[in-house]
Amino acid sequence: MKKVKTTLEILENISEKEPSKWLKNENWENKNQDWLDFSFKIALKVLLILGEKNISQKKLAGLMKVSPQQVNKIIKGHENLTIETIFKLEKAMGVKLISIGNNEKGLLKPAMKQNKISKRKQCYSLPFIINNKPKSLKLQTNYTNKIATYKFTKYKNTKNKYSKIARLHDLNVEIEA
Amino acid sequence: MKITRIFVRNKQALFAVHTDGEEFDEFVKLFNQWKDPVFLMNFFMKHKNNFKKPFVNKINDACLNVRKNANLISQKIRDAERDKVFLESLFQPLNDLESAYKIPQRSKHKIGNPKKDIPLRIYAIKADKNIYVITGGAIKLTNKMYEAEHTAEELKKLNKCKNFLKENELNCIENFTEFGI
Repeated sequence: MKKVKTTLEILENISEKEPSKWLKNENWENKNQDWLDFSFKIALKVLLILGEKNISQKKLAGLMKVSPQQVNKIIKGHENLTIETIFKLEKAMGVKLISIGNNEKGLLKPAMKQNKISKRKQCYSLPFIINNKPKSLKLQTNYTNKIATYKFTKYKNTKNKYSKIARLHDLNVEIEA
Repeated sequence: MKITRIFVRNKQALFAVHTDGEEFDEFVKLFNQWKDPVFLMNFFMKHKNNFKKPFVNKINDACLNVRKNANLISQKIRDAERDKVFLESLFQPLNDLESAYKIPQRSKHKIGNPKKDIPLRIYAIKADKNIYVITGGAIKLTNKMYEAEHTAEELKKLNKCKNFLKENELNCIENFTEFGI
């Protein structure tokens, strides 16, 4: 009697012997996600600048004194860029791609640079003192203008705090980013 | 047309279409595109009219959003490979079928926030319970697939694959499905 083939048997029969590279690729990508994300962001920035300044990839390769293939790898976002390559890119395009804090004060207050930290932690890193614990606190940092805006709602010390209207303060404090 | 195995594990299996003459199967091609800054930049520049506001400044956000969502989809599929989730819980029936044969036309739907609203789709044929064959995928910019050229093309690929499986005596239990974020 002829055996009825299952769906899986039919598919395995008609599929190629060599499995897809997808799983291998994605496992590798997942393992290296941090630097790949960074490389992707640099590639996007490079592409935007090339578009803005109307520089061709070939011209960029010439300015960087590297092969066009190397530039192609950079803009594909899969290149583990060296500091030397990043500097070459910056010099060729005349634009700063990455920067690190070179100021002691800035390095000592990393919490101020994060938006997703707890309210309590934000309080500790504030460059001014709040006597009562704020009900809500929002931190918006603009690194370009070196301005951190703290918006918080503060309650007065009263017995029935729900009946009182919250007072809103907007403070602009300069920080060194 | 050929079929390539992505994974076969216990009672779950995922395959992908491999078009003749192409170096990679459709699934590898799709993820290569979703993680390629050059492809994404060109894609969004081409489809900038699908966005509500002047889009050029936000193209960066859109590209980052696609990459982030592609990684999320990848994670879900890899979870299925480890039997943490069932493929059936990921793929939903495609309710776009009436549009399959319509002519592409401009969509009225516009995308607001490139940081959030860029949905990705994987299209597949459900061959059996927890067994799927991926035909392709897309960055879905319009409500209906026929409203954009690139998604209308995906419908054609689904039909082509369905016919190919039929020729190989495989009657699928659900023709067209999609999974996406």
